[in-house]
Amino acid sequence: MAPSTRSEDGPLTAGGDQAAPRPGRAGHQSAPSRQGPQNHPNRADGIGKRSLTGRLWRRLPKGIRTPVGLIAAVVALAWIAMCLFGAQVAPHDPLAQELPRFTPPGSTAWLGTDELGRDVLSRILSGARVTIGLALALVVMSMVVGSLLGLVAGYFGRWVDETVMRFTDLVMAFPTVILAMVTAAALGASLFNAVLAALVVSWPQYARVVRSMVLSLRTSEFVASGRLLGFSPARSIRLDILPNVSGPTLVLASLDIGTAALLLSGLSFLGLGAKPPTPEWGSMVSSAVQHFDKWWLGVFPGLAILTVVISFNFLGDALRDAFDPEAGEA
Amino acid sequence: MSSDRPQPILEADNVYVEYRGTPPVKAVRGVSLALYPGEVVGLVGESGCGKSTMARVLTGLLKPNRGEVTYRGQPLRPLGLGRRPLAETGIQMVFQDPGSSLNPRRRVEAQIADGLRIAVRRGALGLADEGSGEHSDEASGERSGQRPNSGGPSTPAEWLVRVGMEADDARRYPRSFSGGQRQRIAAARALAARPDVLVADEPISALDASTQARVAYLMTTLAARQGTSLLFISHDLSVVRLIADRLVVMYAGRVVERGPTEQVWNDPRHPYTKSLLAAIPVPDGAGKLPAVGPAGEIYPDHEATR
Repeated sequence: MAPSTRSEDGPLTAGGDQAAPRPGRAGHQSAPSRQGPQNHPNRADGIGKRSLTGRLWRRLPKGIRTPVGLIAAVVALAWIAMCLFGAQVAPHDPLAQELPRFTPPGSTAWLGTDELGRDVLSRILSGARVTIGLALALVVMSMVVGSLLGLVAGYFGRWVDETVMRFTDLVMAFPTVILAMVTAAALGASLFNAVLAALVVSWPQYARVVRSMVLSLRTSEFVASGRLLGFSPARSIRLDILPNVSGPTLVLASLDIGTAALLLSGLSFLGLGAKPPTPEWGSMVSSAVQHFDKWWLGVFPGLAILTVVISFNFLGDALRDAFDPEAGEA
Repeated sequence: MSSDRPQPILEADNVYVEYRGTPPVKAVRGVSLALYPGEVVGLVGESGCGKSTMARVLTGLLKPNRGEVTYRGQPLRPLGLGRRPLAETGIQMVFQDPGSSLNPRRRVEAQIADGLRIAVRRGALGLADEGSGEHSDEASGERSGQRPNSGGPSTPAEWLVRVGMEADDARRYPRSFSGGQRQRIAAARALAARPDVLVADEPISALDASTQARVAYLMTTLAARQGTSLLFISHDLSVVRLIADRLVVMYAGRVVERGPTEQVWNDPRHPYTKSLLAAIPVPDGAGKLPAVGPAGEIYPDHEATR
């Protein structure tokens, strides 16, 4: 339609048309003459508003996105710092049962104490190392395993591809949490086994993404000219393929850190991860369920999980936009 | 074809290529093509006539369904998953799309160095130096004499200068160059390998008109300087005519006409060649559209095919 393509002209002509007699208008615009007089003023208004709000709408995320990315980065970095120094910063020994039991949040213990008189804040701060540290380790491991398999499958194709991808489909056919639970239960409840179980369910997405990128790269011209220049498959993968898949894969990994933390906490919550004295957030929430009226037992570890998940997700989003400026427009 | 010449360096014999699909696409239907040392052959034809498929067959990137490619008298083994045999790196290729002909994540110097590395390993760097020393001042406007004692560029920076760019550009990434510059770099990369044969698959079709001619000339000059045979593929007869010794015209997967450039240009025998020539716009200011037959016109098998 003419008005929509020339948005600046739209309101002007619309204002003139309302006063102008119908026949002149119908003669002026050929095809939509019947609906023109009825819909045109409305449409012009709608377009005028839409283009204004549309422009604002498009601008809003852009203006907000960067601060959100910034805040997310600060929060995520703070949690990573807690991974390293949480135990030192904590006001109390996370395992010491030295305070009165069930102290509500206050001056004695900022976030209260649990059923054994342990300081909740100290347990959250020292638990960061367990939850986030293991989540990071898990993400790195599944990224390495998944990317390697995806690289091999995508690059060599044929039966290698078929084998790897059918295996990937097999794992992905199961619900993530259920499969992780089954694996963890089969391996026996321990943090290490929980990470292994989570690894089993989290590598396939990397394999899929990396494989699809490799498939399109493999047919690209610079890979072909590399092969023509006598690159071995290893050199071709190392120089031509890997650097071109690493960016998106790292973004995927950063988006996955929150999910990994949630999955590990979930396994611990179900008693398949951290053993009782270990200050792990999921198991803290789990034990809080038995004391539902003592809200601070569950809320604060839960908030810790929440902030980790959200901040790493936003961080991943910001990273993705940084890698691909065009993707930020949607 | 004239048979007074020596052995062809690269020869395709009755090549058939069929792409799977429903129905299968017969991209190349019995094409024979010979490339002799040091010559420039222009392969022209419209989009989809099988030119690019032939290029991939001739470089070994694609395995023909039928027919064979011979390089220096030896059958060329289509490139599989393994490393390309060292001897076959004497066939190099420049691709069509300047946007993807270079690895975006590697510095230009590293990519040109790949070519140099393979030339040294094949032992071709020394040989070609002697060759280019004999007829040195063939290329006009050439910034020669960078290194008088070695006959050709031996570093990425020297190659960049050779293709008309700055030596400082070596440290940069492909994204900071224009399409024409990238094609120059891609040509430098391929030619740095000191190939016997350079297959250029529409290397200029994505460039603007003035850059097209310059890049085409540059590639021809550099190839001639090293004694490299050039198979220059294009749909633009007006540019190819300026650089090619011989022309091969393809239509619908077959060769419909071949011969010395002037002969094909002045006296085309096949109706498709005629319409291809007629399709070249004449810059006479009249603004006429070229007179061509209706699109999709099928030319019957012509006796000039062989």
